[in-house]
Amino acid sequence: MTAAGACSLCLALAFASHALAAFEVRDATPAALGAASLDLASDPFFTSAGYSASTSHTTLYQSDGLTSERAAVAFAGRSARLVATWNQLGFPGAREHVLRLDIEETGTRAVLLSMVAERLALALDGEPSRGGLTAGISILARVTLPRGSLECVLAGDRLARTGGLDGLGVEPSVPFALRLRSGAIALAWMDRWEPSGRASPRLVLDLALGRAARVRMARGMKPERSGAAIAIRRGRLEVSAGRLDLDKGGTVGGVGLALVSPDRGGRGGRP
Amino acid sequence: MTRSHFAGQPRRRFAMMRWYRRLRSFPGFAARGAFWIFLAAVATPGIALGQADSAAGGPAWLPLPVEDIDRPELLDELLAPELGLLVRADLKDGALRQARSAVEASAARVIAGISLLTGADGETQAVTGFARTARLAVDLGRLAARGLSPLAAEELGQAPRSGRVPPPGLRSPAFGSPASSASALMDGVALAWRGRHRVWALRARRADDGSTVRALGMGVQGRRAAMSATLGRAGPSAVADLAAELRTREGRGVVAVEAARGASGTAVIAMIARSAGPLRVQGRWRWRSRELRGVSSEIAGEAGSRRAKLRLRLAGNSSGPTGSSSRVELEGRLVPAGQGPLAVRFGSTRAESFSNGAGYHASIERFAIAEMQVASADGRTLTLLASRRDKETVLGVRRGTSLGGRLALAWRERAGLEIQLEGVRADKDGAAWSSGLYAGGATALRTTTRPGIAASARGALRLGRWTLGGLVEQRDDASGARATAASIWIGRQLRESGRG
Repeated sequence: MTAAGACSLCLALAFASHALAAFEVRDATPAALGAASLDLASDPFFTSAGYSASTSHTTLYQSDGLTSERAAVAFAGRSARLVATWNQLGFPGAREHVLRLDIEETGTRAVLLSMVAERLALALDGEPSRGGLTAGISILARVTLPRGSLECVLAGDRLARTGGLDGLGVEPSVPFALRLRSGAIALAWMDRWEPSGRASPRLVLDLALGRAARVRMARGMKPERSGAAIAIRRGRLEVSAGRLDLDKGGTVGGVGLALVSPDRGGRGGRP
Repeated sequence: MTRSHFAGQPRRRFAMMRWYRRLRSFPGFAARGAFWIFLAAVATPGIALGQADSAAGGPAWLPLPVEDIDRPELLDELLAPELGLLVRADLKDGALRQARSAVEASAARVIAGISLLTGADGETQAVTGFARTARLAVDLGRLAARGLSPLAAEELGQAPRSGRVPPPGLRSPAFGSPASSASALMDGVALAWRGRHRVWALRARRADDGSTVRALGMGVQGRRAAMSATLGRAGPSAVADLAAELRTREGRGVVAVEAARGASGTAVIAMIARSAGPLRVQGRWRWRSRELRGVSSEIAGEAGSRRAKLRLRLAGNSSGPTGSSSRVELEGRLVPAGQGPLAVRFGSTRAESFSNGAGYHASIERFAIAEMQVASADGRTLTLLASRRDKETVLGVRRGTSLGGRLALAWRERAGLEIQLEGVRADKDGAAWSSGLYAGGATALRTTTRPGIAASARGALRLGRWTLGGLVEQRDDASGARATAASIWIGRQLRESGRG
């Protein structure tokens, strides 16, 4: 019955977009919607030092009750950033729950490492929860250019999995990104390769509008899709909204709210 | 294929008929040409022709396909600045026909002019007159709109509903003489007050269906901000359009939004663009409320220097009730020291559709275009051209290739001549691109579905204030058919070159 429940959730997502499977939505925050990247962990709009807490709510594909809620706390120190995230996705009676812990190296080194651990669980009404643990790594290499920088990110997502995830369709993948930064602009080519050979490339544009606003736009392929998001920070409050539209039909829209510690000028590190 | 010795006889008779028709048409053409030359001779020196206001091809590095150009009729518009007189004639089916003429004169700080557009059969298709001062402009007769806000233009029937996402329109429109009869034409009058604060009004009747078009607009242009508003009605449907733009202090970033509400619902276009260091990016996004899948977008990024540049562009939109269309392009340009440029473009387009009759249909087209300047010396430049298109459908892969060269000759900045020769191969049901030269000076890629040889030449000679130009194209198909077309034009500049 658990498999049937997983199938029903997959079917709901598949009905909305045949590119998605169980636990495939990593991030449905406005930052991810703007990057047309439900299948990748998003980069924050603003980089800040100290504590931050954020929450978001997203409705998926106009399917009745199909939503995603997320809450995260983060602490960025001198040499590392720690992010703990809780995410749920589904509809009443069938929900995916993901607890995620990111430990990221920060600083000015040319090569930075990070590790990710996740606890995935599928909860169906009247049935015991089923799931397991996953782990992955990510490497960021930064090349300084005369008037900007080039960043290359290569990750192994869900490389290690516990046996409880067998039969739920959780597979490893290789996300990678090439990002050019210059001043207030960042332009990234991102993709995620899966064991089946499937890929979903996208071009993501980040733009700073002054110190208080960030705009993110993206265009993705396979499936063809558009993403757009905006974030505004005022004092310790950050508000964001995003939207993802599939060319073949289907819209995902979300809003987010974050409380951040006062800006102390930033400490570099990961974008 | 071997052809009979007598195979060309009937064709030769037809050729004589074409010569006869050309001679028959000549007196009328000559009379009209003489009329315009007379006007030019008596016109005061303060004359300037109203030119097309748009670079139809856009800021492309390599020529764009004609089907990707929003207003291809502007390709034939002569964009030479400050031409006081223009007479352009086209040769088609052996007959020379006056195509477009315009003249203007000035007195007491008022510039007035008239232009004439003639169809392929010699019939007059548009007569347009105007009078302008430094601030006030009046245009009347058969008009074509240029620079109208894209969403308002769609609602008023002045532009087709574009699949591509245009930038928001903040310029005040110009209503002037049409470049060709393919434009959306109106009969009426337009008034405009120009300057930092702009106001314009239009009252006209659409030439195609006779419906009345009334529109009123205003715009304000500041140092870092601009806005424009348009109210219009075409027949029973009305539209309200509002556009605003903000620029960063140093002018390297732009945020622009246009919103319109009309008979086809609400539509919004948002655009952001910014440059920093070697990086330039632009994103456009459009939403239409009445469409089931109403969002289209286009993202482009460009990086590099004058010697080496790279550009990546992704675009896509829904097409019809169930289809979609998307494109990805990577374009590069390299200029090695002391050598000519090498430019290449790779890309693919994907189109999907579904209909009850034809079922699901998908096609993927991959293409590559290259231009390489081989040598340039003593006013002579040779550039090699090559293109390839592979279209993949459920029926298989259809290929089309073209290979050729362009010789550019220049003589003391007084005369220039471009001669282009291309061989085209295309599978059955396949398509290839060939580079097309246009009277306006642009080059664009034309789709051809049959193999053949295409030759074309475009040149201009400047003698004092006079400019004489011409364009000749000839294409021989594999079937033995030959098609020839030509245009000639005469222009008179406002003043001698080099003196202002």
